[in-house]
Amino acid sequence: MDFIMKKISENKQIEFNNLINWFLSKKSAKKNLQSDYKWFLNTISKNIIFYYQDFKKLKIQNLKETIIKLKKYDNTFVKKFDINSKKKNELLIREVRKLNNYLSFFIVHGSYATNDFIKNWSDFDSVVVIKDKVLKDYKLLNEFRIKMIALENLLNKIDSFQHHGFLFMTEFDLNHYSSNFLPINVLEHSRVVTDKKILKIKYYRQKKFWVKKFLTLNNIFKKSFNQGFLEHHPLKGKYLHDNFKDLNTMYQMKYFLSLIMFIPCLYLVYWQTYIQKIFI
Amino acid sequence: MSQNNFFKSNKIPKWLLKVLGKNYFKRAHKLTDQLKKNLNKT
Repeated sequence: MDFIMKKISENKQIEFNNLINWFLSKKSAKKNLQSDYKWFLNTISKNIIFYYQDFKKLKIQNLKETIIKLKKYDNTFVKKFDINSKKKNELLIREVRKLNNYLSFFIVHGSYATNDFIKNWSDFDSVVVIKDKVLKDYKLLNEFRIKMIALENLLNKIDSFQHHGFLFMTEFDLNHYSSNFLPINVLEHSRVVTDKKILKIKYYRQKKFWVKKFLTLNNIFKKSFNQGFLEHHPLKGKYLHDNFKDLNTMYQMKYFLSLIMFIPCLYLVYWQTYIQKIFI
Repeated sequence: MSQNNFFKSNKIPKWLLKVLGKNYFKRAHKLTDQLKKNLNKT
């Protein structure tokens, strides 16, 4: 019974996280806003608030706790920037600092935090932890959404072929850190833009989750092989085809390569060995 | 061709064609299929 409750809670948490991530990203934005779409966004915003307040009542037992001391993210430790990249990065960081009212943490992880990024190749990876108070007031949430979409547009200037925007989490998520989220060891190598440096995480891990994720990846490759194209991340309606049938698909190819590089991470995490792509 | 150029045009560069080789979906599928067997053993 306890396991079933835990499973239901985790599913709710993951679906809620998916909803927030969609709502706060460019995916939810339309160029010409129709009144019914404005109403739809407002309704979602209000539902997020109601749902989050209920959601916080969920109790997941037997959590482990870890504390990570985060290093500060600034441009001084990044040696590889050329002038242009440095300017864009500084602008992004300046804009993030203006959002202190909404953010508990803005964490940079991956190659920008470990200083091994490759210009015009590496994605800017980040985790944004939203303050609880933003999830209490739908007007504040709407305000935050507009600012984050503007920030995502700025992010695209750093890497126009970025496959993702920001990764959003709530304070509740930090206190009930799901297997579905970014592996905690990745956060250990990350850096923080916002003020707080101590990141306290209460987590639970389910081994089965990683098996499921690995099988999903296996199925993606199987399907791609059978149908001759990868049905993910199209650009202008075009997918990546097998055997370089369309050479003008570097964006799509980049996504495929990121899946390939993810294989050892995913496989080893099952055996409790956490590695980052940098070490492969 | 530099990375900078191929990202502007979205064209897969020649060096990547050579490095990656053909049948990449099949090879990715085969690899994960083999690894899957190890997971099933546990």
